[in-house]
Amino acid sequence: MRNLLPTLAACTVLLLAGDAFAGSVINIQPIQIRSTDGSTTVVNPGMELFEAVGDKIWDQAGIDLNFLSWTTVDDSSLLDLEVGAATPGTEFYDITTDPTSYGGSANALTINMWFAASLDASPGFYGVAWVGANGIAIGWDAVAAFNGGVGRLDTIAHELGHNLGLGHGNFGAGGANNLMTTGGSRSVPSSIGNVTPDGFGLDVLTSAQITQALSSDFVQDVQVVPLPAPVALGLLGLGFVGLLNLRRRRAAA
Amino acid sequence: MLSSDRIDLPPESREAASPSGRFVLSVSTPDAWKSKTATAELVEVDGDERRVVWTRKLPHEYGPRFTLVTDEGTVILLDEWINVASSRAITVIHPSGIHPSGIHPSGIHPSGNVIAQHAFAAIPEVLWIPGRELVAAARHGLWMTNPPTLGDDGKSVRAESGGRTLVIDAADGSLRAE
Repeated sequence: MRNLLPTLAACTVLLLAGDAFAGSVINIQPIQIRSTDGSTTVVNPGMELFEAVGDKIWDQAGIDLNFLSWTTVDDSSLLDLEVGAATPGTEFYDITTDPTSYGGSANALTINMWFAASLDASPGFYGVAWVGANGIAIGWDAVAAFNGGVGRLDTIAHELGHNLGLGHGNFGAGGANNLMTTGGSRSVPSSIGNVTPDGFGLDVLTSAQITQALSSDFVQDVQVVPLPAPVALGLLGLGFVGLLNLRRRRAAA
Repeated sequence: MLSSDRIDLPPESREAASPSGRFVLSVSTPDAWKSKTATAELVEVDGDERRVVWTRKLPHEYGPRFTLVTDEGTVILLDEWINVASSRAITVIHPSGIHPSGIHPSGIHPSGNVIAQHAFAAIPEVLWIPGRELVAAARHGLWMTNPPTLGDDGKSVRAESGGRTLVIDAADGSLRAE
């Protein structure tokens, strides 16, 4: 409850001031590739940490990552996903250009992210994405096993950056501590505590990268419309009554 | 256009020789990096003779990033191939030492004798520079701005980081800043 008080206070100020609150969100459809009979799955329960790291990285741009409920595609031939040159007929091209046939979202503004066991059977191949267009594939076995099993924590955020139009060599990428620097030169955090602004300050986004990312159609604005003052004051009053009740109950106990 | 997050794996076998060529360290993968571990072998060269001094498996992911060998046969490994804050940022291996079963008859440790190992966290402390500054300035792995070199005395390794030089004493594995 104590942790909620600052949030309640902030909301109250916003409501009373009558200002609209604006934020940005990217909707992501994660798709798990499984064997044809569904018995072999790729992603383990540790996925939450990768989502948390992605959220922290993209918070630099004020963007919230919204992972939708998992879908699946059962096709053993896709477990080791062929990327190649991503020309028509290769698996990555086919699934990203016809996403609904492979568990993807029909909403063109929802980013589809497939989780395969591997990409091109290459142990150093962690993720691939279109630059400025929809479609990501993650080579989960390599990502999860990276750094002694800690995981390559920033691959998901890196590939999202590509879909938002960022490359390895533009908008200020290139430094070892930049999110969009190429895989062989980028330093990868071993914990969420070393993602900027904390610790070693890894996975930085430049202001030019943030501007580019925010201009992408995949980044959707979220508006919180202010309530009329009487309604806001009524809600505030209800909140105080609730807090008083809680205090009385604790005192009685 | 397509873009990816991938790393080039190291060659399946690579060698580093001491300044005189007396000792040669080879680092290789037994399985095309499927297991991500490497095997290291130190060889002493005397004319046409090549004598294996020690052999050991390395825990470094895809092997170490840099390897150096002194003319005394001391091996210094820096960082892992992957760019992370490693618990094995610096490893110093002597050719001789005490074998777990006692003094080895030949006086040579059959798998080398790790006399010092430093995590990345030790480096900012020695250099008196915050870790995030070392990382931001790095060009080779997590913290080095240039590839490390053997010192002129042949008994130390110098690694530049964050505008300063880290000196690793090959005799005891101790660190100091210059």
